[in-house]
Order: sequence, then C-alpha cells, then structure tokens
Amino acid sequence: MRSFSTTHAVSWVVLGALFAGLALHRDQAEAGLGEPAQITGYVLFALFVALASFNARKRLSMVPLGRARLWAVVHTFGGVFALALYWLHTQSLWPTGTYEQLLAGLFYLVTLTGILGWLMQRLFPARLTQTGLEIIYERIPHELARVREDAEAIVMDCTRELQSDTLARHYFESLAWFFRRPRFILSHLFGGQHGVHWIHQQRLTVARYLSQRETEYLDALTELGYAKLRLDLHYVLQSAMKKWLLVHVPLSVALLGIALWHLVLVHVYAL
Amino acid sequence: MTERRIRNEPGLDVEAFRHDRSVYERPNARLRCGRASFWAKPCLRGPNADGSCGGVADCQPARGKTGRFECRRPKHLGGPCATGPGPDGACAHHRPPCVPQPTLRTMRGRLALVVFCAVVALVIAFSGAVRIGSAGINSLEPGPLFGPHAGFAPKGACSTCHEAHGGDLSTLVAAFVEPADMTEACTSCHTFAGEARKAHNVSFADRPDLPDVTCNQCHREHLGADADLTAIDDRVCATCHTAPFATFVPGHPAFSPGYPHRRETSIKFDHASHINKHFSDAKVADRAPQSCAVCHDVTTATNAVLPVKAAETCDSCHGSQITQRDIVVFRLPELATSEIDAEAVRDVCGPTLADFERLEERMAAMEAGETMVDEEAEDEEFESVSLDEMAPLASYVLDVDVDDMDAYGEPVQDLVMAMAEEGSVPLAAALEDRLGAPTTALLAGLNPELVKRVACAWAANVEYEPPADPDNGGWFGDYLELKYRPMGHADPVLRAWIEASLAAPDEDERTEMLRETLLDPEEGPGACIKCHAVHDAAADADGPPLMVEWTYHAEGQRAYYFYSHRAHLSLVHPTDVAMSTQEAGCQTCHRLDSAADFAASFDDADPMTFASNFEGIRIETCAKCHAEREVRADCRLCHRYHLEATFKPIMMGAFSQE
Amino acid sequence: MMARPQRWDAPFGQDMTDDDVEKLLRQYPISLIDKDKFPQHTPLEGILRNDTRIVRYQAGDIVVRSGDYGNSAFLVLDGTLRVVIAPELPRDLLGRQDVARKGFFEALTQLWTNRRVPEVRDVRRYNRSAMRAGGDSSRSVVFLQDIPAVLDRHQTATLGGGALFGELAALGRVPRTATVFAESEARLLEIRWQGLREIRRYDESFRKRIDELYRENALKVALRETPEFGGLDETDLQEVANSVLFETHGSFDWYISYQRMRGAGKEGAAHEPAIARQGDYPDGVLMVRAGFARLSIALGNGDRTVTYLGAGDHFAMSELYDSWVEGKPAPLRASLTALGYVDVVRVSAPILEKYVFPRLAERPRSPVDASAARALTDDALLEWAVSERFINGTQAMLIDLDRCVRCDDCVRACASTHGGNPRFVRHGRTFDHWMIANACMHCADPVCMIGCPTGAIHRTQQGGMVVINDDTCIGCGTCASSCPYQNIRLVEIRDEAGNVLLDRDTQAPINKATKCDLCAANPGGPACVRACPHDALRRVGFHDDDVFRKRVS
Repeated sequence: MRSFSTTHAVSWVVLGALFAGLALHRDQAEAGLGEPAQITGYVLFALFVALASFNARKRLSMVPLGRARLWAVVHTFGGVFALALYWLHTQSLWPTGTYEQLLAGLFYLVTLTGILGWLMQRLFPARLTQTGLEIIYERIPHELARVREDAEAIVMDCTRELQSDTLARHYFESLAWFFRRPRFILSHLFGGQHGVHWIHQQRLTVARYLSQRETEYLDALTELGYAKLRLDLHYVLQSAMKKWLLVHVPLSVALLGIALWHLVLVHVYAL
Repeated sequence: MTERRIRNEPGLDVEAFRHDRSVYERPNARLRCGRASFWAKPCLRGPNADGSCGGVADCQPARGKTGRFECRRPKHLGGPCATGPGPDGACAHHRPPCVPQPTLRTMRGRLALVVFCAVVALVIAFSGAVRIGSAGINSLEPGPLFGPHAGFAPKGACSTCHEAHGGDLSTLVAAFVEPADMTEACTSCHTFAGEARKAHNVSFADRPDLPDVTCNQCHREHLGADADLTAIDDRVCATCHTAPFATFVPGHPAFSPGYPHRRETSIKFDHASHINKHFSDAKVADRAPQSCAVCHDVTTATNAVLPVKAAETCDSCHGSQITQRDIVVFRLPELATSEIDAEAVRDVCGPTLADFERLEERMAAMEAGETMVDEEAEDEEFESVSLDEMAPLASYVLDVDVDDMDAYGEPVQDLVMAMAEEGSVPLAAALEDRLGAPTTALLAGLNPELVKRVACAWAANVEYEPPADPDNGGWFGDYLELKYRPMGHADPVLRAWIEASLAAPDEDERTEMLRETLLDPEEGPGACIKCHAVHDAAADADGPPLMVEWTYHAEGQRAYYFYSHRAHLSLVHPTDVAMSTQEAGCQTCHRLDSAADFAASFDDADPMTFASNFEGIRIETCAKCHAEREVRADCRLCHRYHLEATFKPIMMGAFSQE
Repeated sequence: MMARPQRWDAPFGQDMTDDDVEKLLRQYPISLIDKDKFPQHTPLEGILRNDTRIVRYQAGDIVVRSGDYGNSAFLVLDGTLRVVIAPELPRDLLGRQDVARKGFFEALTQLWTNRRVPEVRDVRRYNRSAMRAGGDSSRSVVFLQDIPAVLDRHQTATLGGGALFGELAALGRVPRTATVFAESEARLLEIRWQGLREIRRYDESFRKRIDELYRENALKVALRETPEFGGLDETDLQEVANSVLFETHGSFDWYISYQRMRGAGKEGAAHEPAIARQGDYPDGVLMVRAGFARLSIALGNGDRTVTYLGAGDHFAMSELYDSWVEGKPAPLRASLTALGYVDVVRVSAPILEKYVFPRLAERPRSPVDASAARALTDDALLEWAVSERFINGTQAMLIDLDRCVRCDDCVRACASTHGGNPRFVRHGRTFDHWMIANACMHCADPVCMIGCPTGAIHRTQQGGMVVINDDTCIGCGTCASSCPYQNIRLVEIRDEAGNVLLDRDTQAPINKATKCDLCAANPGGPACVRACPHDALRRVGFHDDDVFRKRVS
C-alpha cells in the first residue's frame, strides 16, 4: 500500500504536468491562430483507447504487461484526467451538435459509472469483511440452497417430532419467501438493517403460539435466517461490484465508436 | 437433533472446499448453472462447454464386482442409477431440466457488442438528413449555425461551406487527409476592401513574409445561433503584434502628441477665444451656446462628431458680416476722355433726362425765338463723372492696371458701351475670355436689363441711381458700381468667384490682386476667409494650388480605429457642464489650450502647421475607466481588424429581397 | 477410456534390467541391507528396479549443485567424486540457468489455444508412454572444464565407492547443501526419495549410516555457516561435530496427526510434541536443522507464541549463556514444541562454554526479550499463522479482504496461464481482514511430496517450486490428502472433445492432481499477483513474522 502512495504521487505529478502542458498548448493555439482542439482531441482519443485497453490487459494476463494495480491506478487517474481533458477540449459542459451531445452524454455516463464503481470498490470490501463470512460469488446459490434445505429440514423435523404444524405453517406463509432467494437488496446495498428487523419481527409474530420445544426449533431457524442475511449481503455487494461494469463497459465501447466517428468527421469536414 | 442443522456461518465452512468435496470455481466459464440463476438448488457441476447442462451425467453401463453389468454414475454427477441396463445394454437417461445461463461477463460482452453495433447503426442511419417529427436528427450535425448564417445553409445543405459533404468515398477519403479550406466558403459572401487572406486585408510591403490567414483561425462556427463569432481575444492580436504589453493599462503606448488634432481644421473656429472671450460677452449672452453639444452633435456620433450647420450657429453672430461685404464686379473709373458717341448712346439707351432738359431748353428757346446755340460743342471739356479707381475684378478682366487711366480708358468705355447695348453678355464674354472657363456661376442671377441700365447711365457719364437699396442681396447697380451683395452663408456666387480666382489660369500680379481682394479675411466679399481655411492643396496635383475648405472634413481617415463619442456621453454629460469648465464635459478629453496661437497657424496654407485649440488626448484619460475590471479594455474595442468588411453585392441583393 | 495408472507404472530408470538389480544387490553397501526385512508388496528388488537408476558421469560433470532442490540421493558405484566445501563454486561455473520460461509470444498464444472446456488433456501423450520420471531426471549435465583449477581454489572432500550423498535433500526436503562433481569417470546409483524412504524405513543399519553420513558431510558445513562455530579451525570443528546429538521430534507424517488434532479441536502448543519445557534446565543449545518449532511462553490459561524457529535457528542460547556467566543454572524461559516434523541437533553446554561463549561480545538475544513489550494484538496474526501452520509457506497467497473487490481477476489470470484452468480457489482461512487463499504455498516442508508413488510431485531444480508432473500423476490423491491446507485439487480430465475421461472398469472419472505452480513456465512470475488491480493479493513467504505487520502499517 505504501509503495503505491508514491505511484499516486507520481501519477498526480505526471498527469498534472501533462494537463498543464496541454492547457498551455491549447491556450497558445487559441492565441496563436492555431487549432486549439486538435491536439487535445487526439490526446483524448488516445486516452480513451488507453483506458479501454485496461479491459484488454485483463484478457492478456498470461503475458507480463505490467501489474494490473498499475493499470488500475492509471485507469482511475486517466479517467479523472479524461474528464479534465474533455472540458479542456470542448471548453463547454454540453456541446451543441446532435452527435456531439450523444458523445458527451456517453462520456459523462461512462465517467459517472466509473466513479460509482470506484466508490463501491472502495467502500464495499470492508463491509464484506465485516460480515465475518467469506464466500465466492458463484457459490452463493449453492449456499443459499443449502441454507434453504437446512431451514426446511428444521421445519420438517419440528413437525415430525412434535406433530404440530404451527411453525411449518408460518414458514410456508412468510419465511419461505425470505429463504427463497436474496432479499432486502436495497437495504443491504445501502447498509440498512431491514432484514434483521424483519427476522426479529417474524420471530415475535409466531413465538407466542409455540411450545418451548418448538421455540428451540424457531431459534435455530432464526439463527439460520441471520446467517442467510450475511449471505444476502455478500450477494448484493458482490453483485453491485460486478454489475456496474454491465453499464460501464458497453457504454465505453459505444463511446469509443462514436469518438472515432467524431474524429473522422472532424478530419473530413474541418481539418 | 437440531444441533446438526444449526450452522451459523454457512459460507465459512472452509472444509467445504476440500479437494474431495469441491472442484475449482471457474469464473472464466461462459455459462453458469441455470438452476442457480433462478435460486433453485444448483446442479452439482456447472454447465458443459457446449451449453448443455453438466450437472447430471447419463448412467453408463459398467461391470460390477459380480461380473454383471450395471448402470453407474459418479455421486457428484447424479448418484446411483435407479435401473439397470436395458435389454440393449444401454442405460436409461434421467436428466432434470436445466438450461445453463450466461454469466455476467458473457452478458457484458454481448451487451457491449449490441450497444456498439447499435451506436454504429444509429450513426450510419442518421448520417443522411433523416427527420423525425419536426426536429431533424442528424449524426453529422455539429451544432447550430450562427443565426444569420443558418439561412444560407439550411439543414442538410452542409455543402454550402463543406465541399466534401455528400461526396463519394474517394472525395471523403481525400478530404480526410487534405486540409480543408473554409476561407473559400466565407469569401463567397464576405468581401473586404483588401485581400481577404491577408492580415488586415492588406499586403504590407515591408512584411512580405507574413503568412496567409484563414477566417476560421479566428471565427468559429457551429457554436449556436447566438454565438459571438467576432469575440476575439487580445492574445490573438498579440500573435503578430508582439509589443511587450498584455493589458491596456499599463502597456498601451501614449497617443502621439496633439492626437488627434494634427491637421488644420476646415473652419478657423477659435474655440479658445470664443469660449473665453466672446461667449462670455454680455452683449451676445443671449446668443452664446450653453454647451459644446449645441454646435457639435455628439448624441449620434461615433468616430467623427459633425458640427451642426453654420446657419444654426455661426450665423447668429456672423451672418450680417457676410451680407455687409459686397463683391464689386465693375466700377466706373475716372476717365480722361470720353470715347463714347453720345448719339450712339442715345440710340441704344434712348434719351436721358439731360436730353429732355436740353430738349426743353431748346423748345423754350425756340419759343423765345432765340437761336439756340448748340452748346454741345465738340470742344467742350469732358468731365468724368467718376473719380474712383477701377474695381480689381474689372482690372483683372480687362487686364489693365487700375490706375493707368490712359490704358483702361478705352477698354472700359468699350465694355460699358457693349454692356449698354447687350447687357451682361459682354461682361460674361470678357470674363470667360480671361478665366478660360464658363462663367455662368459667377454671374448667376445678374439681370441683363440692370446691366444695360447701369451701363447706359455710365455711358452717358452720369451716376446710376438705384431705385432702392437691395436688402435681400443680389445684383445691383450702385451709382458707379455694379455689385453683388451676398444673400447669406454659403452664397454660391461668392463661392464661385473665390474658386474661379483660385483656378485662374494665369499667374500674374493681376491674378494675385484678384485673389487678395476675394480672399481678404476681413474685407473680402462675404468675409468667407474669416472662417473658411485656405489650404495648399499641392498634394492634389490636378486641383488648384490653393483651396478653400468649404465643407467640414473629418480628422483624417482611420480605417482600423474606432471610437464612439456617443457611448461616452453618459460619463461626461457635456450639456450639464459649462464649456469653460476644465476637465469636465467635453474638456474631460478635449482640453482647451488657450495659449495656442490658433489663428496664426492658418496664415500659411500648409494644413499641417496647426496649433490646435485643444491639447492632445492623453491615454491617461482613457485609463481612468478602462483600467477597471468591468470596463472593456481589449484591443478590439478601439481597433478594427478588417478593412471595410462588407458583403458582396449579390448578397446585398439577397438581403434586400428578403 | 484408459487404464488407471499404478505405482511403478513409470519406473525411475527406463532401462533397469533384472541383471542390473542382481548386480546391485551384491554391491557394497547395498549388500549390507537385509532384504528379508522388506514387506512383500515392496521388495528391495522392486525398489531397486523402479526407484533407482544407474547414471554415468564424465570427469567434471556436476552431479548435484548447492542450492538445488533434489528428490533423490546418490550412491557412488565406482569412480571418485568431489564435494565442494568452501568456498562455493561461482554461479556461472555451476551452469545456473532459469527454468525454461515461455517467451512473450509463446505465452501469448494461450490467448487462443486455451480451451473453453476445463481440464482438457492430450490423452495421446499419456498413451505414447513418454512419461518422464520426476526428480533430478533432466540430463542436461553441466561440467567443469578445469578440474585442477577448481581443486586448487576450493576446499573439497573426496567421495569414493560406496559413499551416499544427497540423502538429506531427498529426505529432509531441504535444498542441497553442497555441490558434488565427478573427478573421474563415475557410475552412480540415483535413488529417488521414495525408494530411499522405504530402505531407511525397513533397514536399521542403513538409517544409522545415513545419520553418520550427515555428521560427516553436512553437519560441518552447517556448523561452519553458523556465526557461533564459523570461526573454528578444522580440528575444533571436528570435535564439535562429533559431540552433537541428532534428534527428531514430531512425526514424519505430521500432517495426518495435525489434521486429526484440528478435527478434535486440539490446537496450540499444549497438544504439540514438546522439545523443551519452560522452567526446565537446559543441557545444551538446540539448533533446528529442518522443520519448524514453536517457541512459546505460558500465559494465563494457555501458551503465548513468541515466535517460531526454522532451519538454522537455535534455542536456549541465552539461558545457557546466563548460567555460564552467573555460574548457576538458569531455567528455560520458553517452551519449544514441534510444529510437525522437526530435525534438531543438540550442542552440549561444555562445548558452548569452550568454543562459543568466550568469543561473544554480548549476551545472545532471546526472542522472549522482545515479547514483553508487545501487546497481544501485535502477535495475534503470528499466533494464527503458526496455529494454521502457514509458516510453512514460502509463497502463500495472502489476500487483503479490505481491498479485494472479489472480482476474480486473479483466478481468471491463473486460468489464462494454465490452459483455461484455474489452479487455486480464491477462498481460504481468514483472520481479521486477511485471507490465505487455497493456493499452493510452496512449503518449506512440502509434506505433499511424501507418499507420491510416482514422484510426479517434485521440486523444480531452480527456485524449489513444488510442481506436479501431469504426465506421471496417477490421480491417487495422496498429495491432495497430505496437504494440510487443501491446496491440491483433483480434477476430472477430459479429452480433446471435451468428454470426461472415465476409467474403463469402474466408470469413475480419471483424476489428475493440480495446484499452483507459481506460473513456472510463464514469463513474468505469478499471474495472480500481476492481475490484481487493487494490490490486494500477494505471495508471501513467512521468513519472518513481520509479514503481516509490514502490510498493516
């Protein structure tokens, strides 16, 4: 970690110098009857390509192309730099042409999703760690199924042993909904305690009708519910950390396409 | 009991990942278990690479310990088979329904492809002028044109400016690599007094190295209908004008001394004496202007401030001075001898009063029977009715000295006799003969009958007695003179005489005298030269050497400068300030310089020897305001880049049609 | 379908004949071995036939190199060899070269050669029976050109007929301690460690002989490398060497007892074989030769781990020094327990008082000294790492869960370098926000190698990475069961068409053991580390117990 603070510092310095150089160039081009948006445009397009190549690097991990950490830092800083460069290039927040507006819209969306993704990647890992639980994303359905089977087995055992269907009835009326699949997704995403509250409430609702022995089964079921909440949290947060790319990556590809179109148009019509 | 069911931490069972209990998680797989994606119990093994469910395998026949074939299946592929092999030796197939689903990454890849294709398709589809509803959507649209331009390039008519637009592939490819020339398009409408592609539209002789410029170096299009295409930064100017200053204050060099009063004015109006002396004179207090604006119309002025008409200003005091100074075209000089045949005069003019008296005397004598001795003896001593000198104008016309009585006696009397006979014609002929130019303007309004009558009187050696004094000016005979009285300011006859004198072909002492007479500032006819400056026009080779500044002319031609007087009025309020107040009103900038010898500077005809009533404008005055942040101080506030930017005539036509 | 591979399917030497075996049985020192003591299923003849081979060396050929990992010992049949004692031969003379890594573009071809179907194998390769045996079998021999010059410059010892060497590296799973080269033309019997183990297990005299050899060959070298005995002359060193005692603690197959203890919830020093107890009076210093030992002090109701000792570390030095200085016995301030299998040598107090203590400038430091100043939380990670035996790892995969976004880029990178198959599972034991993932740690004491019937699992010559030779692996699962960390996984292999290969007889799938090979064949080192975009994953060696602390700060 410490070693990367120097990377950060170097990144800041390099990008700052680069931006200053480009800004200076733009300034001089503007004053010197040059084409101020030309160089920044080329650099911005090259930057787009470079940022997009982060994805390619992930596919080429069999060959030494530098540490992905370095790429990630460059990607993050490059993204912020791209925003600054974009403003330097366009000198406006929102362009006037139709396709330029599409370009700007895509660019802002990609940047926004990138920042969101970065934030999630910063905030969520620690929350996952704090569950005291670690699970591979692909295994969550397996574990959920296992929890569900356990829960149903508890209910079955209870019914079989005590010849009472009170707990079973409650399970199939209410709890089955919860054990069916991940629930309280928004609450988990934003760090709420909706699930805990819900399970507690369910327990209170049914406990008054149960015998002491049945209550022991209910306690086991409740414990299982809390365990499932942790699984749900893992599912929600890990999903979020994966699914933001469903927006970011396709939009980036579209952005690259339309940026190339822009480059061609500018060359054909004005340069 | 329940104990075995209760697992607090379902995912933390690391033993669940033991080699004999699990397989590698393969996040690089393209498919995932379809059951898992619906939160059902997932298959034990993930999908096969071909997209089929890998969770369950078919039973395979195998030889058991007993030697018999039985159907077997590994536990993690579905476990024991319910039935043994059929008669054909094959095992029955039991597969629960499960359709593998794409993983998130696979979906991401597909989504990226779809979005990319969609964008490409959209861009291509809308690259023509496709219109949806009222708004045209175009993937080529780079932004709305500047409003006035938009009319010439309606949507889709990009080729008005962009030549490559709509071209075939080779054109487009060529346009991709070749630099585009936008100036060509601009200059199809815009035109300048000089060359469009030269800096300031001028080829500077001493700077042949300057590269050509293009319009779009400074002017950017497609920035919206209301965009300011002429907003140019100072640093653009500094690209070439590398004078070492970046701001107006400090930095801009001082104006040259006396700026902008470098050339003598056309009217010798001494502001100093008028303001300091005349306007404060109690006698004219009711006529004196109360502010500069009375004479100078600044309310609509930009660069040049035109004075109002003299008739509305100067005339109130100086009008009478004009009409009091007549021009004497002809005066009957003292004659030594009479060369005029009285009979002829009588024939031409008819009997005079003297003739009647003489006739009455003779009648009375006849009645008295006296033999009337004809007193009209030839030897009677001639006594000239005039003792005056000849008029300088006539002297010039007849080309005789004013005091050489022997010389002028005959031509004068010939002319008088001719005038008596033919009115103004002989005079005009003589003038024309002398000036070598038509004289219609000189004698405009001269009644031939008046000339005849005056000439007849003179021919009879008597004074012409005018019937009345000509109050309203014009031609009149006055005893021994044929005169013209100016009718007021800008009298055309006076002006014609003065210009004729300046244009006189011969340069001799008579011409000199003629000019002295006419150009005399005090006694000259109309006293025109009291106010109108006479300048050496040597620069204009075709014209006369001297010229009178009849009309106001602006202070030089400054094509690249601009100043708006009007815009500054609200700051100085010239109407509210007494003219003599220093450093206020117009004097804020135009400070009166009372010490300057204004009048004397007009003594010579050189317009550049000028002692203005006003000090030069100081840049410090401008800096008082234009150094503040809110006040513009950019180059283009005062300086103009283009030389007479305008439109081609065809464009003017286009405008007028609209 | 194919036949299930069996042990000795792939003999160590391809061309060992019955005649060779007969000759060997008559040759010293094999003739000393009592072959009747061997069980029926592993006869001595079988061992000689399958686990040994006869190798010939020309004069100057290097047989073993110092620092190499080797899985076999050598018995000199005839000829003379030289073991280089000091100074070591220069690296270039040893012909060191890196493991043949793929070039950039060769590695890049995996982009399209990787299979979508997992665990595809070219089955024809197995059928061609081109099975190469594991161990030091690659015959790219490096030789010394100028033997006299080497002999002139380096101190060497002679190995003649009947001498056995390399047994320490083969059995103790430690790197070779010295370089041996052939002085004249020589014929050697190379015994892979499985065979050596069997012989040692069933023949008492052979075992003693090996211990004596150790005393002769390695101990002095080892002692000379210690700061305490490094300055002694040859005679004194010999005296020290003769006086030391060998001890082994714990079980050779410690992973079995460890898993049993773990299963029973018995963890900590109290359940480990004690080597020395706190409060006892020491009679000599203990120097760890191989394996790990836990140094702990009693705290409350348990034991607090102060540190762990690895090869080269010593115990009780400071206590003995104190008693020598003060003239009265000083009790041990800490206990030492075996973490698995520990080889120690005991150097007696008189020897120390004679040769070591007088030359010490100051009192030797004890790890106990520093522990007083450390809070319990400072050592919590150490306690965990020791109790989980992660100290064994030299390349453990440590993941910082506070940084890990669970993107699995590491797993994908691993798969892309291994034909589309991941070689680890991003899951494992956690402590606080640390996880040691289920990836091979390339242990200092690789217990997985114990019991491999074909020697498919072995150490690379360079770097000592533990790798599995897929061609000779029979999928028996011994290594996977042995690994205390569940880092070896058996996979069902498929043919090129993607079908799971099934045993012809049982219909059970054919398995192969797989694990992390540290991307030995790939350029650029472990792909997982390079692929982590968040700097959350590292491969760490537990050479010192600050490995966590460095990252925490």
